Amino acid sequence: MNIKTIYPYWMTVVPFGIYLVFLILPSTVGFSMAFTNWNPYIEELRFTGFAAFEDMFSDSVYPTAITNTLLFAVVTSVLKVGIGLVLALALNSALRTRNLLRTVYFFPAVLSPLVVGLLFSALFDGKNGFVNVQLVGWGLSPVSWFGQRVSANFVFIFSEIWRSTGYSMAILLAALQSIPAEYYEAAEMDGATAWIKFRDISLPYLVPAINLVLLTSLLFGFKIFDLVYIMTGGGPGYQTETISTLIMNQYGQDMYAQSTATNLVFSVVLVAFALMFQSYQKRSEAHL
Amino acid sequence: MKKSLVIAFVLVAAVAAFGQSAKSPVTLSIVANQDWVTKPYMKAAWANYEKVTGNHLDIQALPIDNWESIMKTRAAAGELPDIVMTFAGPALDAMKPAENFADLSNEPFVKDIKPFVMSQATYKGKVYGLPLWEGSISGTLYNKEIFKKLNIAVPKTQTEFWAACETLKKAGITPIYLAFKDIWPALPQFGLDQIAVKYPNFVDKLNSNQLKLATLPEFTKLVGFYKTLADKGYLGTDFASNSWDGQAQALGDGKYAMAMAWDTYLYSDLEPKYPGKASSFGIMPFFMDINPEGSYEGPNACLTYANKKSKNAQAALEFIRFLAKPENLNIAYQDVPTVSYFKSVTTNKDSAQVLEAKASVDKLVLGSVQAGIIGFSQVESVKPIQLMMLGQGTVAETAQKIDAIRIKVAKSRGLAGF
Repeated sequence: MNIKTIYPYWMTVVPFGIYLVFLILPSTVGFSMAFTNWNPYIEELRFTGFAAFEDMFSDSVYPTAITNTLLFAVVTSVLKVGIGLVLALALNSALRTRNLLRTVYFFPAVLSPLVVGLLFSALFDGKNGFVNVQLVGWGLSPVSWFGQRVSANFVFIFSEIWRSTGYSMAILLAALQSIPAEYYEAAEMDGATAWIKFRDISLPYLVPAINLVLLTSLLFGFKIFDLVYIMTGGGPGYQTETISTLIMNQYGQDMYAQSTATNLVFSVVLVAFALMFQSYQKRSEAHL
Repeated sequence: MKKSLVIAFVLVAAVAAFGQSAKSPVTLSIVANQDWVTKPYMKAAWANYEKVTGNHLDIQALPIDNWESIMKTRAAAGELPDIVMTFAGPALDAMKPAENFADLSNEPFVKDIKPFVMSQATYKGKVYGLPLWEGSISGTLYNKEIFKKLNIAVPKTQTEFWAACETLKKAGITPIYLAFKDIWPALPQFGLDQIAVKYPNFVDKLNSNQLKLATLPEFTKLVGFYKTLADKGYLGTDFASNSWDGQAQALGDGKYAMAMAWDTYLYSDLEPKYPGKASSFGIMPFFMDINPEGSYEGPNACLTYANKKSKNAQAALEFIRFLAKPENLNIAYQDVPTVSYFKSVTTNKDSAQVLEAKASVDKLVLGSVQAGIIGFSQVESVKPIQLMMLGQGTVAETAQKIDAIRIKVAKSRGLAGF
């Protein structure tokens, strides 16, 4: 069946029009401000070429922000997929409490990162936080969790894994449940072990779902803002700055054009990454 | 049919006329820093307005660390609410007061403003805001009981201040509480006041790139002051976890002996949590390694503005007029320990701390210059200091970084000379 004969091209006019008016046009106008002298004090908007992009090559905050962002995106994505897969496999078995456990594990995913940020801020507070109170109770020294780059990044990563592993689990669980039971029965008749069933049946069927979770996790990770902004605001100094908090801080310093320039480059990189990932995804799923 | 139509028309007209004659209450939106909306005199003034007029106030409290950028963004987007609270001076540029705010220059309350506030209440020759604010004196707050117990005389010089810190530390009491985590409470602006008096046209020269902070030995000393505090353990070992919210508890529990703040802080923040505790504290100058005798900082007025573009512009103006009436000002300032900005206010009371240190305050009080320095932010300019205090960067490098931030912002604004 030729799908083009069912859906003629003219039917795309309305959706594309909406996309054009509500996304492409505002984004283009917004990003064009990166090439101007835009700030709240100007009387007249002027074209300034690439002047607003100069800081990216000289400001020492950028390498810190890029490193923190990459670290967060990669580590959280890998762990969310890994832990989510383990949970999905466990909760796909015939446990009596599996429905309850599915709800429990999924629950944090309904919370906004803002709420989770506040929660973990309180838990890891250096003075009266629950974690430090426990540490002191065990005779250990309290840790200034948000006072150092490594420990602060650990808390960001931990809180994000806690928040959204349940979401990864739900996607992977749905994919697991779509695998026909006959495949496993046939494999069992051939004497396949649990590992072989996982490797040769479950995993190949899970690849599209894993790719989806990886892509969404990575994109969320690259854009991380709420958790960091609530917990440290990018500090102390610039030690926990991410690309998104950097954009916000530039905006806060009234450097609107510079902030937009950073945002433009960041968006282009993200789109390029998403396209590359989709290309890899097509190739990885082609032979399934 | 015709008769029915006539009756219906009469009924509609009657309802409409009734609706117009009965004045319905207005809801005015106010945007302010979340710290300001808890000030006792603001709460009293607003409550009085709501009670007398029947109107309602929708208070939009912005986060303490980014209120300014949110407010500027809203001004740039033309989305300011009916009433706006913000500081005066050059910082007001971004709010475009002539474009956005009602001109109050001819309002009767202007004649009621005390002369020392007029320079802060005036913007390019006009008054746009009502300075319903506290007349605080900023300095080093110190716990008199701890000082007495350890036989520490109130420091009068930088040397005596360092000696007091050492004595406190040896006695197991952390000398100074600095809310490091929230960045802005480091407040190097207090040191800038001391530097400004040494250099004529200090602010203008900085804003035209004729002067650089990093080249001034006093500024290097100011940055070094923070390094000394951190390196010598005068802030405690875990100062990186100190937050502004924790300051009242730290002072109230007596774990810390001093903090850099303002006299009214004792009554607005400490007293509600530790009743009776404010009287245990005194105020002495800031000793920031610049002026041997230290200095205090005078009040930095925050004003209330009426948005002339809002649909409730007239009601917003009436709100300001209501607050500015002497009888209402006296209700707002009733028993508030602060200097009043208005000649007609008599119900306030002087803070015990300032009265006690009056001779010193009168001699060493300076006006705040920070708000006038373009690109010197209470947050961004403190970040390099934070890194230095955590062991990253020397004093000289930090001073240069602070200058670089200032220059970057000035360049982005296209200022002449940069």
